[in-house]
Parts: sequence; structure tokens; C-alpha cells
Amino acid sequence: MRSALLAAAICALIAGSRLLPLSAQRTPPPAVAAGAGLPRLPDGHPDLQGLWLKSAGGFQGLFIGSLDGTNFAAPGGGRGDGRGGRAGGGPPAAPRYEYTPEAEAERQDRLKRGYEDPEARCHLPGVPRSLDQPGGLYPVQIIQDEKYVALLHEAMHDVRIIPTDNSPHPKNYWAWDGDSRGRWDGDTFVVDVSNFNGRTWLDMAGNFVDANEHVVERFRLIDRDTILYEATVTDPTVFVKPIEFRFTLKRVPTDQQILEYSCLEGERSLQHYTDEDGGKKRRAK
Amino acid sequence: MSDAPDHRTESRPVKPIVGVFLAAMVALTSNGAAVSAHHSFAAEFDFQKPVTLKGVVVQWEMINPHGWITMDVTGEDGQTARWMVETSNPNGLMRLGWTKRSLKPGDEITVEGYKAKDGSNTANAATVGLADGRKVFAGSSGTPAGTPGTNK
Amino acid sequence: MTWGRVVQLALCSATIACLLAAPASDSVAQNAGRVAPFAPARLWDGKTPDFRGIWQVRGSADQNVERLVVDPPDGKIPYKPEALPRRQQNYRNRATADPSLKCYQAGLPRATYVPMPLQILQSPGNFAIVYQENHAFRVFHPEGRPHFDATDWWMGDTRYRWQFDTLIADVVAMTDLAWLDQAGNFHSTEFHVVEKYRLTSANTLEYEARMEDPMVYTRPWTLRTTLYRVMQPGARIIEDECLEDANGVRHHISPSDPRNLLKADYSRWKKPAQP
Repeated sequence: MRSALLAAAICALIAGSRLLPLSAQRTPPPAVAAGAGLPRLPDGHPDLQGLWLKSAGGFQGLFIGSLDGTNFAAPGGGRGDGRGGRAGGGPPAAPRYEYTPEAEAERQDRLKRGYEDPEARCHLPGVPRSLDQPGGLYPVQIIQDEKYVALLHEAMHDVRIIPTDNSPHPKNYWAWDGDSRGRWDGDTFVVDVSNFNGRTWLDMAGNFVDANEHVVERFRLIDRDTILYEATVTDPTVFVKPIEFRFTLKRVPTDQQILEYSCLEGERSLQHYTDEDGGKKRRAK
Repeated sequence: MSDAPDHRTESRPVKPIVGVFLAAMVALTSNGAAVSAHHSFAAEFDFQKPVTLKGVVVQWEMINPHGWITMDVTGEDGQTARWMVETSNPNGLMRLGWTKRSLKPGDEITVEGYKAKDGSNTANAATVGLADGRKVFAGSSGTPAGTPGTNK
Repeated sequence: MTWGRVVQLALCSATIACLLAAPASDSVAQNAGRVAPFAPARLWDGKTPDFRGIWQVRGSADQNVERLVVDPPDGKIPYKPEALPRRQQNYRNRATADPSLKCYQAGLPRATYVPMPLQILQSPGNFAIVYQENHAFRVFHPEGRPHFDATDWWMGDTRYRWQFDTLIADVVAMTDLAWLDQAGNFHSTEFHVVEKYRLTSANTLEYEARMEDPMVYTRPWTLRTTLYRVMQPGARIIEDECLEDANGVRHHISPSDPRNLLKADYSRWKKPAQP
């Protein structure tokens, strides 16, 4: 076993160091202070495992934290829409969408058709929406070994089992969550996500992507209890420039557990949507 | 409040819900109750139309993605109407201490919330007042900050 | 990706595969005196049996779970007489009423024997199963803390422990809306399942589940089946998400079905604004 792990570590080292300038889209972030003191797996990579919760942006982490109402999420406010926020580890980074003119018209149209938001219909949120859930609401469980980093999301019981071998994306595969292939770039887990089916929205406000979406995600453990998450979303038919997401995930105390979120099984809200939002009911006077 | 029970770490039976509900109230007052889930509050409910419903619990369904209280409300004219009241996502409420046993058929409650835009007897609960006077947070998808009928 | 890199990665993978496949001799020695006929490989802690991999049942138990019943000996679920009418009603309505047709999570133990693979994720102290069908998953929590039963879940609340090389899981808090198979076998919210997972060879995982439900059954009953390791190179759990048809009815669709790809509706984008 030990030699197998060693082999895996060597492979990862080879793959990570010499062979893989996969994405020249980004320059690597400045090295963390040698990453000293971070928990690590036997293969030497940072141990991302645990239960994590997006730091509160606008929602104050109401639902997690101790029952006396204190909030363990990073201090600082947000814009009230659940994203951004001064989560520890960097400046706030609410995504700024710059659409092509045609896509901007489509976005305005979708703003009035909330009835069609796939997540309101309990579909998989896609990437990065699966992680960009309203802060403080739904945690994600990470389980990791030398071959995979698995993200088990409470929201929509969304799952991504991400191989760490930087293997190529498949052909003829189109998914709500796309296809994720990861690699270690030093202490940063970099995930290339492609093969989207073009159906997801980025939020409830009609921001969207189509099947040309491509995401590069970066997970970096910046201290024992904080993962800095960054995602760059490109979609040449929708955006005129890449969209940047940046927030932190904070470790949830071990006395908490992930729960099941069985959305489709009990969804009853859409029936009350009115024509103002693309629903089937008339707005009552 | 520091000894508020976290029933995930306690042995059964779950501790009396009093402390938990009080804790929930603190959470409400300190955080302003803007909680979103998987769908838009504004698409389903009208925060210009607050409503207070005083009635009797018929059924309490702690189901994802939103819990539902079915209740019978007797109006001033003596007529009884059945209302469906949406609460926040149960996972959030459970983390505040709610359980499927928190409301029972026959319980007298007062719901403060917002009416559905479609005009049906449907509302979104911001708070649920219990017969003994306690008021608990039930905030739902994007319940506006500040609660109708309270001093906030 | 260069060819050199492909070859290098392939060699790496092959090396790892060979090393992983080789029996861990120290594990064999440790277990020599025990009843267990097979000593599984271990995780990197040197202790925890390694159940990682993609597994799938063979056979058609999802059509009728009684095909797997090993106790009682007659192979029948021991329904209370008053529970049988609901079972018959479910059976008559199975073409439309089976929750699985609505793309709901399968529940337990059904998720294990639906004709879809599952993947066991593991590291020391962590154990989870991801079921391909409807991307359901279960995080197994160590025993020692009480069940989280504040409501009724589709996939239950799971607590587990190891008994030698067998994983024993205790599952409660399950909704009575779930079915046990396509035939409409069912349970109430008093359902309690004890599962046992045990490797019987490197590539076979025995699954046993003991069901009790005082509201529905006269006595506990037990099913047993075997999960087989999915050996195809590159096999993965793929996304299983349903799509609504024009009537709003959901249907499973493969991510490789071109109908799952929504090409951008440029006609709508270019439509002139309505006056």
C-alpha cells in the first residue's frame, strides 16, 4: 500500500510540476507562507476534507452557527444578495457580468421569468452556483483521497466526484454540472470544468450561461479552517469578458452534520408564481 | 443562551424546545431574517401584503425544500378558511431546533407573514406565535428584513 | 496534452493499479485467525477496510425486492394483514405512482439494488456512498451520536461502526413516501434498517439489510445481495438528472443524449423588443 501511495505521489508530482501548463488563463497566486501547518494527506496534498460552508455575504450565516445566534462565519457584510462579502482571505469579489448585447437582452428577459430558474425547479445548480449558494445556508462535505476530491453538496444533493489526474474531458457528454477534471498546482486544487448542457442559471436574478461555459476553479486551503474558492467563468457567446467569483468556505464545527435536501420530492412553490415572473397564475389585486 | 441545546450532540429525547425557540428569536432579531433558499421570495409572495393568521394547526409537514403548515383560520365573520403557510427550508429550521414534532394538529398559533401573489390562501411565515406567547422564527425564502406585526 | 504525457500518465495509472491490486500481505496475516474468509485491502491508516470503488448489483430485484429476501425462509415480506391493501394499491398504480418514476431519490435499501452503479468514497474516518440514480448520496456518520431524526428523510439518517471487516450501518428517519421496489412494497416512518457491507473478494461486496417496521411488518425481515465492482477502465458515476417534457413530467436522460444539450436559443435573443 505504502509503495502505491508513493507511486501516486510521484505521479502527481510529475503531472503537477512539469507536464501541465494546462491553463495559462491565470497566473498562480502568491505562495502561501509555505503552507506550513496545513493538514495534509499522505500524498502530500493539503487535506480539504470536512464540512464547509460558504462565508456569509448578505445572509449572515443565520442557519449555521451556535443556537445563540452567533455566527462563526467571517465578519463583514455583503450586498445582501448572498454573494461577495468580505470573507477572510481577500477583498470582496461580487461577480460583474458584462454581457454581449444579445445576451443582455436575454438576461433582462430571464429576470422576468423566474418561473424558469432551473434551481427553483430543483435542478442541479451547475458550476459555480453549486458552491455559490446563499452564504450560511447549505454546507458541502468534502471527501478526498489520492484519486478524487469529492464535493457532496447539501443543496440539491448535488455531487461532483472530481478526479485529480487532470484526465481529458469526455466527448458526447453534456451535463448540468459539466465535467470536472482536477489537478494539484502546488497546494492549490485546480479544476477545469467543461461539457455543460447550457441549461443552468448563475443565480435567481436571471444571470445565465449557455453550453459554451467553461470554468476554472481554484480551491486553496489558506488556514486549517478556511478554503479560498475562486472561479473564472468564460462563455464567449454570453459574456464579453471572464466572470470572476471569489469567496471563502469556512469549516463547520464537527458537532454539525450535513443533512439531506430533497428538493424535487416536496416542491410546491412554483404553482403560486404569477404571470409577472413567468408563472401560470394571475397576479391578485 | 449559551446553554441552548444542540440536539445533534445530545442524547434523545430532544431537550424541551423552549430554549431553542428563544435562541431562534435571538437569531431573528440579530440577523434581520433575510434568508433565501432555492427560489425567489418575491416571485411567490408579496411583501406589500403582510398578513396575520390566527388559527389552529391542521398539519405540519417538515419537508424540503420548504415546510408547510396547514391551518384553519376563523375570520371575524365566523367563517373558517384553510390556509397553507410556507416556512423556511427545514434544514435551516432544524438547525435552529425545529423538528417535525414542533407543531401538532390542534395547536393554536398566530402566523405573521406575507400573502402569495396569486391571491390563494397561501402565505409565507416570518414568525409563528405559539399559544404560550412565545414567538419563533420561521423565515422563508427571502423573507424581508423586519417582520410584520413586530416592533422591528 | 502531449503524447508523452498521455504515456506517462498511463504508466503511472498502470503502476498504481498493479500496486493496489496486489494483496496486502500484512492484512492477510492480521486476519488469519478470524472467521472472515477474505481480508480486504486497507486505507492508508493501515486499518480501515478499503471499500472504495464503483459497484453495481446484477439482476432485477428492483422489480420486486422479494427476490432478495433470505429471511423469512418463504421469501415473502411479512406484512401485517392491515398493511396489505396499501401494497396491493401501490401495485395496481405502479405505472404512475412509483416515486422512482418521478425522479425522486430511491430511499433505502432500494438505492442499493436499483440497476444503476454506486460509488463508495472513503478515507480514514469518512465513509459515503454516492448513488448514480438521481445523484442521491449518504454520508455515514460514526456511531456515538444519536440519529438526527428531526424529520423524515428519503435516504434516512445513517450511523455506522466497523465489526472487524464488516461495516454495520443503522438507518432511521425515513419517509413513508418511498417505495422498496417497482412492485409497490413499502414501509412506514417507523422503518428501521440495519445494513451490513462486507467484501467477499476484491471485486465483490456483500450487502445485507435487516428491515423492521412495527407499523407494517409482523417481524423483521432480511435481504441479501452482491454488488460487483465495475471494472471498465475509466468508469465513472455519471450525472443522472431528469428533464421535464412539455407536460412537466420528468424523465431520466443520459448526459450523452444530444437532447440533453440545450443549444442557445438565439432566435429569442434576436427577437425585436415587443412594443
